[in-house]
Amino acid sequence: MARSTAPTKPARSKAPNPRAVRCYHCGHVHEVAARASRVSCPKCAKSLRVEDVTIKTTEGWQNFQTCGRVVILAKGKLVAQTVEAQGGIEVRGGLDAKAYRGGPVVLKKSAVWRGDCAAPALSIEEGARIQNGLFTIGAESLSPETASPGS
Amino acid sequence: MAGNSEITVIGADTHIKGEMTFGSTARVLGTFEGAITAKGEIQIAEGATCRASINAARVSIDGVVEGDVTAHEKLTLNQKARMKGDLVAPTLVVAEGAQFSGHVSVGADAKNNGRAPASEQAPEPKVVVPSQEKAVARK
Repeated sequence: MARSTAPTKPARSKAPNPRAVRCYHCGHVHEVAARASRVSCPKCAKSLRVEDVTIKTTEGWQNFQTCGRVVILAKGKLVAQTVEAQGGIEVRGGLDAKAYRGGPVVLKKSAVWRGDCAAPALSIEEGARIQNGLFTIGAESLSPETASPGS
Repeated sequence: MAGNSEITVIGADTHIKGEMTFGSTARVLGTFEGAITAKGEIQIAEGATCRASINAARVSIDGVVEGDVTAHEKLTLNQKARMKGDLVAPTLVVAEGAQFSGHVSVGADAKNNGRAPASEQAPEPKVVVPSQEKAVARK
């Protein structure tokens, strides 16, 4: 007797290449799919932006937060009260914020940075400009004093 | 580049308090408190401690610095650098592993944007209240 050939539901496979993100609300580290752009934190249930972001023009935000990496292109400018990019930030254009917190900061030669910065590492190309921000680079950037940007 | 003969070395077992001015390059291996000015390069070696304001053409830090640093050409924070204080320099190089905390002004116009170190700040104008003036005159 021929067996039924009814289409079966494909087994739901795990997302390929999951990546670890840290919730910028509660600090919980969990894995998300490589191509996810927004998820809910499994611990605090708050919405998280986890995508990498490229700023091509001038953008204004109150609080700009992502678990991914931010790249500000040469003609781009990010204006915000606070900026948090867990994956780090690369600036070729301008960043004007009260405070930045997150991953490593890379300032390319055309970068103009205005605001405070707390990051584990900083790379500055010759020609980049920093306009008097309070910088905390290295292990100290993870201290409770700098735990929340703009505080 | 300056030859070794032009480098002044402050030895590892030396502790100096005060002001130092160098015409060329100086390398600090010991402990220094005060103010350093140099026309050339100041090198703060690994293991050295400086509680000082530093003003030089080029500054290279491998040790511990607490104080404001102004470099007229280039400021380099190497891997072992630990720094607390304000930085002003046209060019800043931060090696991976370096730690610092303070206000930073970098770029060609850094001097205009940055806070002038306390030693360079103009004294606050004295305000004479007329009533006090009169009181002094009466005395």
